[in-house]
Amino acid sequence: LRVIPSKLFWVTDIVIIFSYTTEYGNTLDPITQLVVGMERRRVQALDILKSSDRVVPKVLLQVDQFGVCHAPFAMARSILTEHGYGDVLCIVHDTFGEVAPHEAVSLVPAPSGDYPLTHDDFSKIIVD
Amino acid sequence: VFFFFYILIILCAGEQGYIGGAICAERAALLQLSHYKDPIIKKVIVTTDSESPIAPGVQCREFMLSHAALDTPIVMANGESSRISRCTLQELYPCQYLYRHQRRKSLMCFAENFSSNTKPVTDNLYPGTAELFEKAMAVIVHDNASALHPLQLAGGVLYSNGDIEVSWMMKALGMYVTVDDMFFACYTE
Repeated sequence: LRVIPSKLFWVTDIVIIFSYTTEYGNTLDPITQLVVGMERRRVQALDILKSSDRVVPKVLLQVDQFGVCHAPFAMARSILTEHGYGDVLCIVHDTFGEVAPHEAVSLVPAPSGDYPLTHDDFSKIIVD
Repeated sequence: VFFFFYILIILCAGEQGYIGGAICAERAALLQLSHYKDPIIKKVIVTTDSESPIAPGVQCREFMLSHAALDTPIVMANGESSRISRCTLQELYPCQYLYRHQRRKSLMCFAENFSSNTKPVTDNLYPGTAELFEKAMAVIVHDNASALHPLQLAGGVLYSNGDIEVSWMMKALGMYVTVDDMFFACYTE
């Protein structure tokens, strides 16, 4: 199975771009699937008044067949941080093979400085 | 003698009816680079018509990391350029995908070699983490579409009451995406 790069053909004044490609973008990563269960538990817990009694996710990991733990991919990072799971601990192997825990929110840092909008700011603008 | 060709590529975001399939301006611009041989991304500039600059989205950051160096400057400006913020790509996306520069042929060999030097996941970080790791590894065989891509992934979440839930990657391939769906005809000036 190969991904063939786009080819460009010029036909007089018309540019036609053919692209034979696969669409891996339909793939569901493990963490995003787990968020469904996390959300179900969160909604079920809304009736529980004492927050200490609520069951909440504490640790997440994503591992390949070689036992290497990878940080959540972009979609999962976004979902976790924008839906209240920013404090969940993500277990990651760093480039040196060490096990390093990271809070989900730290995986989507806002740029330094005062100017850029954060994800939260941006969400408020859209809602307004 | 070295020749440098600076190419300015300008694209905007593309949004369709179902928002899940939208593509951001940065990714749209980066895709245009496939027409050039070994392009080097010198700088990425993101502008907006809002009062404050906006940082690239998370998917965009991940996408850029496969095509640009970690120290690539990202410049974010509002429409009037009265507010400008700068950072590097690395700052925007920590814990980058470990295999992002591996081609398919070398991926499995690289991953296997890398894994020989990784430390085990233990309960030192949080009680129950080792069991979480084991349970995720146990279901990884269900990610069985290796013909699509050889790397298998599983995930797990540990809840505050000790419950563990696991999942695995579900690979998918839109077989209908051949010539017709990706056919564009653009009239030149």
